[in-house]
Amino acid sequence: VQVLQVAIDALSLGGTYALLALGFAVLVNILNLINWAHGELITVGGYTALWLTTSGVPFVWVVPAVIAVSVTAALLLERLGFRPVRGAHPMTLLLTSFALSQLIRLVLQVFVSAQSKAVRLPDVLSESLALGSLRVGVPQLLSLSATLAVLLTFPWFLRRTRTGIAMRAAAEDFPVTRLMGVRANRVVAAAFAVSGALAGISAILLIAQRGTVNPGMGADPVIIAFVAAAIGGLGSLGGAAMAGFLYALIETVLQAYLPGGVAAYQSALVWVCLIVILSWRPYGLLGRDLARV
Amino acid sequence: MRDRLTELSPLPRALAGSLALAAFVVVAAIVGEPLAGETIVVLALINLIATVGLSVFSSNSGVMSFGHAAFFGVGAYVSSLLTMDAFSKELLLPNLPGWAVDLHMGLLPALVITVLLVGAVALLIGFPLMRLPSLSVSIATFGVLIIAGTVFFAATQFTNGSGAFYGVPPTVGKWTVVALAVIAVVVARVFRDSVVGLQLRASKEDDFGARASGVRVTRARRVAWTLSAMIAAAAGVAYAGYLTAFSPRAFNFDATFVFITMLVVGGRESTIGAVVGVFAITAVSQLLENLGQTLEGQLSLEIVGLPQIGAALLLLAVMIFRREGIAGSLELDERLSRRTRPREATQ
Repeated sequence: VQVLQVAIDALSLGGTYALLALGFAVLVNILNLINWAHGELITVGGYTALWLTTSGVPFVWVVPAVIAVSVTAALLLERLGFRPVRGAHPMTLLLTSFALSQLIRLVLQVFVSAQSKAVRLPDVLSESLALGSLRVGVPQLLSLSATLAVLLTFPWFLRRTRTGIAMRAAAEDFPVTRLMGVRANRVVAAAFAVSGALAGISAILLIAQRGTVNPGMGADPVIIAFVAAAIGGLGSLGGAAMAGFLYALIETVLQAYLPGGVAAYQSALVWVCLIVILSWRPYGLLGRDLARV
Repeated sequence: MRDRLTELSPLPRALAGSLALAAFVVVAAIVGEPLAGETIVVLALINLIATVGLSVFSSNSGVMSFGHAAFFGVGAYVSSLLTMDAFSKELLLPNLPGWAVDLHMGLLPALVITVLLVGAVALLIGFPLMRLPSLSVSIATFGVLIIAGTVFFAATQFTNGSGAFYGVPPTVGKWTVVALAVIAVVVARVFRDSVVGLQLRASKEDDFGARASGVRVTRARRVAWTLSAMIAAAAGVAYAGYLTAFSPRAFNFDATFVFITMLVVGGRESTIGAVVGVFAITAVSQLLENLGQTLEGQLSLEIVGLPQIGAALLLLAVMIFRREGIAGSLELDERLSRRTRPREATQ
């Protein structure tokens, strides 16, 4: 029974991680952009949720509003921050995103509040379902179904829609895609919009699990997203989703089976596992070399 | 005089250049003190040591490391455990094993032992890490940071966990830090033109080309990684010995971000870049700090984080307008000799 419970936990945590990694990997895939400010998109979504719920907007409307705001924030970020450095070396892009991430967090800290604020969500979200002796939290269940929904519609979006096909082509060879008459700005905007939408969903799932927002709430998620995207192979969407589940599996297994004395070292051990995986597959599970493309 | 400088072979020229750079550091430290106060100057110099350490690896190899705050932290903890007397240790760390309680020595042996120990650890870590391709190395150094951070928090009998670490004897004064900064700058500048440094820089320009010419890139990276970790550890020793109390939060991602910002803003291709970056960021932060205090006084509201916002904006501006950093990619002496070389040709 314990094994089954661990499997369920890993699966539901993995859903959240896979969404994070996917939102992060979209930009790596198309622009070679490791967007550290992805965490701040989540934070912005979180604050939107806080503001809307405290002003009494029903939860059904909060969800699309949060996603819309995150998408807008992502598009603004692209227009103001990333367009001037488009096409630069991946490290330049990463450093730019560091600066932007730091900037947004500090601005929230200075002008909104440095303290954590509680978000009131419908009570359903804090319950958990019991199946015999197994327990599944409602937020986890929701995140898993949201992930499955995204994972199922995403390939369709990439393969069947015009924008999706243009995005995949841009990931293969951006200059040639532009020669084929695809507008660069439109593809890039689409990628940022997708990334922002996924960040919005992540934001809702995140506050459903922790119940509070603060300016630093994006810091841990972005590390998870980064790691999962890196382990999956920077630039591979399938790999990122897969690695999200793998990361969650390692974490849950360590959580469940580590003896008490070493439990405090959990995240160190997770990272040791990740470095071992990287040594085995230097470009990630399904990856390619960003710097050399 | 100018001709003699350009005729020097790279290594003596690097030495001459590094001494000029070191002199600049000393002068800046002396001039800065009445302007900003001793604490700010010393902390800037400690940042300088750590950033120069980071540049030994990152500037030469072109691989960004996120892990140097970890070595900075290990340096602080290890040297503190070595210099504290048994009484202060028992006060702070009641569960410390007996062999560690009895260790007690002066600053110099503690500095040497700490730096060598961190060097050995970095060398060991370097074996699996430096084999990886560039971007994966960066990712893995991020892991080094997280693993070290976890250990600082979890190894409570040695580190007091998430609590503050205090009672470190004040063994480090301003001039010790100045001396360490000078040594760090000279070592970094000379290493840049040493055989390994040149090999690394060749591999940064063209990885395949360097390998084809017989450069063992993995080994060269490992050497630079170890050396740079040792310099970062020395910065940690100075940090602990000067402040006498510190928190594990001083060694987290924010610290890494500070070092990287300083290096990149100044110029991530050169030693002078690290130096210029530290001074630029410190100056801007101090100005904004003062501005914030004046504003607070006039508007009677609390403004925190203005210096950090300034640093982030500066980083963003450098990324957009001047990617090679304020100081550019040439060292001082290289700039001088470049300028004289065409004249030589016409003579």
